[in-house]
Amino acid sequence: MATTAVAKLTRVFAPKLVSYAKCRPLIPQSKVLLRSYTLSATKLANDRYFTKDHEWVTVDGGEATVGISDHAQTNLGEIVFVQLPDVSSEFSLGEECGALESVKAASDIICPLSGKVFAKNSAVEDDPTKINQSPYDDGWLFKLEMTNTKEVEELMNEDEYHKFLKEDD
Amino acid sequence: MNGKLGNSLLLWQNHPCVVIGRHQNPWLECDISYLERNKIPIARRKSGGGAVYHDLGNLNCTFYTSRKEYDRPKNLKLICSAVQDMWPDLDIYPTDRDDIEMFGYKVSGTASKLDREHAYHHLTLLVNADLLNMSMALKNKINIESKSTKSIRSQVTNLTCSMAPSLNMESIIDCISRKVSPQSKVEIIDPNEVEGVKYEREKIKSWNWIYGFSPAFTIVKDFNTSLGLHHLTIKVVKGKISDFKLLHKEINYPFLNEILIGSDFRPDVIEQTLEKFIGHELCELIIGYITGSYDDL
Repeated sequence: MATTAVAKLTRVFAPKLVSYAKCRPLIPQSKVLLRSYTLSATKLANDRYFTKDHEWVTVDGGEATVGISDHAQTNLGEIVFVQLPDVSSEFSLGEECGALESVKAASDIICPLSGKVFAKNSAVEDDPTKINQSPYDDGWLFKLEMTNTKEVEELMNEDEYHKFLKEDD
Repeated sequence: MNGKLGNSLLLWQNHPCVVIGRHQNPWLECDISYLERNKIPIARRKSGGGAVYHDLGNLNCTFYTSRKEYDRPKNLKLICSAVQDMWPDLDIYPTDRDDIEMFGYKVSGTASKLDREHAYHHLTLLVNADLLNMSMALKNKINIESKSTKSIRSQVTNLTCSMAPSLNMESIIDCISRKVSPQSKVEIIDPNEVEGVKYEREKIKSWNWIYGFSPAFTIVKDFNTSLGLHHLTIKVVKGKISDFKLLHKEINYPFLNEILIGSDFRPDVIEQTLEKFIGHELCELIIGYITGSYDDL
């Protein structure tokens, strides 16, 4: 019974939303520019942030997705094994939470933010080279619920990370 | 790694043992029943790479540095040139896999571990090791499917040979030390006195680390008994049985899976349960196989 009621509601509301989108007037050019300036001044959801350990983080509400940067995967070489943190495990910022193996070298994965792991990417466990091929997309490592969202403010944005890479060289 | 060593080269030796890489599977990499019969312990190290055999004829070299100064090719060149300076007739060189070969045979294997601030690169050096014992210890006896890192088997040899009659463990240690530190500031250390060793030792000696840390794996094997063909599948995750299927055309073993799920994958633990449910003949075959006691691979 409950399902039928929900279905009816959807049929009633959806057509209205579609027609509203079609009728909405175009935003004048100057207003568009003003809007994007304001948004870039704050931290956007799905912007990428970086750590000094060459890991990236994207944030969505209280949830963070973690991976390694293109610089990291290039330096590591072909990754042959990835040991990811277990789901439900908890870590503090800076704590070792897993490892990547490439050319007989095991490199620590450092947890970039304090939190509890709620998902790990089993696709990279099955095929670690996905991390090399697509470090920012298919090669994500794990997701965690942050316990302290303020920690994100300490991370570098993309520009700052590129500067950091130049200085490091 | 606590950084208190500073940049250093550690030279060390072990009594006979097998050391597997961080992400390896000991049941796959060595003959566990041979090791148990000969009281040869297994250790799992924290660095990557493959399985190696140590005895007093093997020299371990650990180059411990900051992360920035980590440089495996440099270390390998140093070892090779030290040996070649002293014994110029030896054709010894690093390979592109960061092994060291002599006259086409492997004399050294490499592995490393990196964290935020520090790194170590360690390697074995076969000076005068018992190569027969090594080949028996590192024999693969069980068919295992796993994503664990697999050792790459090579033909090995010892450094000692008639072309370098003065080469032995003592002279090699001396020659490498002098190359690294010409003023020869060599210090003999008791590992028990290094800070953090006692804490690490308890974890590193545990079954959970040595065996339980193995990546998930599956054993598949057929067994022929007087009752006919049995097909066995065992899945192990984090050292515990996650699935145990014993299939036969006519005979059913309905409760075996439920009873064994969650048990440690330890033959002595499994054996008692198995014998009650499947009888002595089949139990012996299965336990014999998973302990590597049988030679029918």
